[in-house]
Amino acid sequence: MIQGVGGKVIWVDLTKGKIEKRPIEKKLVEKYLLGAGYLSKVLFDSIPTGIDPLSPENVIGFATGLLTASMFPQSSRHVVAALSPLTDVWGESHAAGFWGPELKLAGYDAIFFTGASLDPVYLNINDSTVELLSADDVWGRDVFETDDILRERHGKRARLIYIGQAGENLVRFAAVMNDRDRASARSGLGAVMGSKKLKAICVRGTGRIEVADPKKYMDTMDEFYRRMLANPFTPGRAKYGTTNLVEMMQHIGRLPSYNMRQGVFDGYEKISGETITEKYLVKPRSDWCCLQRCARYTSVKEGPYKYEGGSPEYETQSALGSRCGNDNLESVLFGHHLANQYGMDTISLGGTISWAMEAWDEGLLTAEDTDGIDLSWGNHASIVKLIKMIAFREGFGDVLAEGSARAAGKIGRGTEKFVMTVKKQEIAGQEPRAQKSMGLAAVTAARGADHLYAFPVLDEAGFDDEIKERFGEEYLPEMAERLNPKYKGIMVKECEDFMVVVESLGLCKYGTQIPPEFYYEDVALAMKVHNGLEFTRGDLQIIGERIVNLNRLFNVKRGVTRADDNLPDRLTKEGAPLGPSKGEVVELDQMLDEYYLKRGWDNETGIPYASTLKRLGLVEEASGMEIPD
Amino acid sequence: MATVTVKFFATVREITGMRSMEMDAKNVRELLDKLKQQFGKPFTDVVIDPKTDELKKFFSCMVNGKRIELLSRYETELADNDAVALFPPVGGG
Repeated sequence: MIQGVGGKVIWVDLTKGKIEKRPIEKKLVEKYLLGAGYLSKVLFDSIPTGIDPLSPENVIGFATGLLTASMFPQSSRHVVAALSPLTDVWGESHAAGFWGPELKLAGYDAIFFTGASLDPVYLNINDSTVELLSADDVWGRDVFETDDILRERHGKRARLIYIGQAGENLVRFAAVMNDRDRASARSGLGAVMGSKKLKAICVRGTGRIEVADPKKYMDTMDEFYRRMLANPFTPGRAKYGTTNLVEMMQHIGRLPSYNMRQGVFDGYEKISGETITEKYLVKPRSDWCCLQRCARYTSVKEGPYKYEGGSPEYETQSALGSRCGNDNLESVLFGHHLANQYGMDTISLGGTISWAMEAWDEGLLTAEDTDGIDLSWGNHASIVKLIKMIAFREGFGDVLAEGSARAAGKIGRGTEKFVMTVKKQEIAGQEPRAQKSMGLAAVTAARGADHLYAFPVLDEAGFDDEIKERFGEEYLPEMAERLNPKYKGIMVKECEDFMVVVESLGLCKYGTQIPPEFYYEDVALAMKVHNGLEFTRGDLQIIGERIVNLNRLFNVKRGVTRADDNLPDRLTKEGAPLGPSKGEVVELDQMLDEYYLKRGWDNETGIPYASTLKRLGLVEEASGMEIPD
Repeated sequence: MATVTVKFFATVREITGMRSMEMDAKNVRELLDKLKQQFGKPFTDVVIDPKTDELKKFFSCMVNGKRIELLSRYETELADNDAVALFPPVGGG
């Protein structure tokens, strides 16, 4: 028996309106843990190949981790996954908040939805009661309205996941929102909910979580709390969240600007976290057991961008700010608020708008294409207007709602070369010419361009001691040098393996990767005292490898090869034009060669070798596929 | 002796009360010594590790965008118009 979990999984057939509860399978947990790993396996087995991600054949899963709702610092997280309508490959996204812990307190670890409903519905969970209810009165409403209505109906302590109008309108980068302003933003999974006419999952849980060894559990968590609070990162993170990254990224030339033409932005101080904190911060906030407290509330008191609500983090500052050449901070804050309200990923949103702005700047898009909207760099009124048009698929917004890769495919005229995506997902806020590991991480991530699947931040400011501890002294100094491609294949591989374990436990990357406070031994100890599961560091590393390889097989089944693990030419062939990383390109092939070698994947195709799959216990999963010897 | 621009960020800026300032120093160590002198205990308490008299763990000093660990650490020579950045623990994405 596994302790510290809900113990049950809910399967909902939306076509038939049928709900089934099943016990959690211990054997599956021992091989894949919970959270991201669990969804990886169940959805690998459940989602057919050759389907439209927005068809009823897609299956969407929601899961908590083994340590979600524990007292481990930053243990609030849940994960959502399905075949992505943006990338057509593995789609996965995570969020913090209170929904995951509430689900576990209700006695459940995961929920899967198959089929599609004819009419809008939401799933209501109140401890043992699980029911599908009509969502007629909230369909068409935004995230905040939906939250107000359903919490009025089911009680203020209910916790919700939902989509806004963007998900209903099948915007390919629609987010799954929770707790009003938290987002599982990437991969367009909100559109999968929309395609199934699934508006929300409302949860109220009043149960208890039994831990395996209460005394050792309390002692361990006490120690972890002290360590987290004493970490030098903690005070600054609690004060600025991630918003103060703008100035650092500017300083190292890694702040994506003008659709990644360059990594520096003249207006960086105007959109910085220091400016947000000084002028717009209402207060910081915390999710379940979160000592990093990077979330916050901000407000604009007057003018066209007046609002009060969740604050952007670094990614949105860069996506709607520097990436669009926009130094009007109030429009960035308000744009973020609108994205939350309608339920959209701000990274793909900013990446898509900035693609259109560069095409406009190059004369390849004109007012005839854009319904007369001026897309000059930094035109913040146009940016804000487009956000609503995208969410509602109005006019030119309907083109942009497809994401930049599909939009460029439709417009043509050479606009394709300004698409800054990997596997059709917009590259996040890391100009990779200024940090090579991020370039590699973006192409190897299972869900398309992504900084979080590996989150290789140890070379960002150069954490030599942690690199020495986690990898070995022999990799220094090169591994700690952000402009040096050497050993980055090894670093990204190891970071991916650890990060998928973290995502399978329901923990945050803040506290495990940056600051690099907790590592394998710590989470293994937590699993022992909380879940009663005994894993060594080596066991967990193998599980991490297994999950990454299974994600790869999911994509290989859908045609992904090395050719798809690629960056736009701008980043690999054109030197950074300005700033501290001037002249740098991403040496992608060199890093990929090293990565594939370390992974045990074929260097030509990027497909795992049979021997690799055998070692990881994935032979059955690969049956019927062409696997290199 | 070189005249350089020193840039402060986030929690370090809160102590110095300014975004940047011009200073004269021959190397990074001398620059830090002058900063300790000018901003006193609040600066030293937050930024300097008393055991090593160098920057605390995760604090970062960069000269023209390059961290000093990749140059000559605290003995890194400074030249006129160099930009020296002093970061508190910050990173991520």
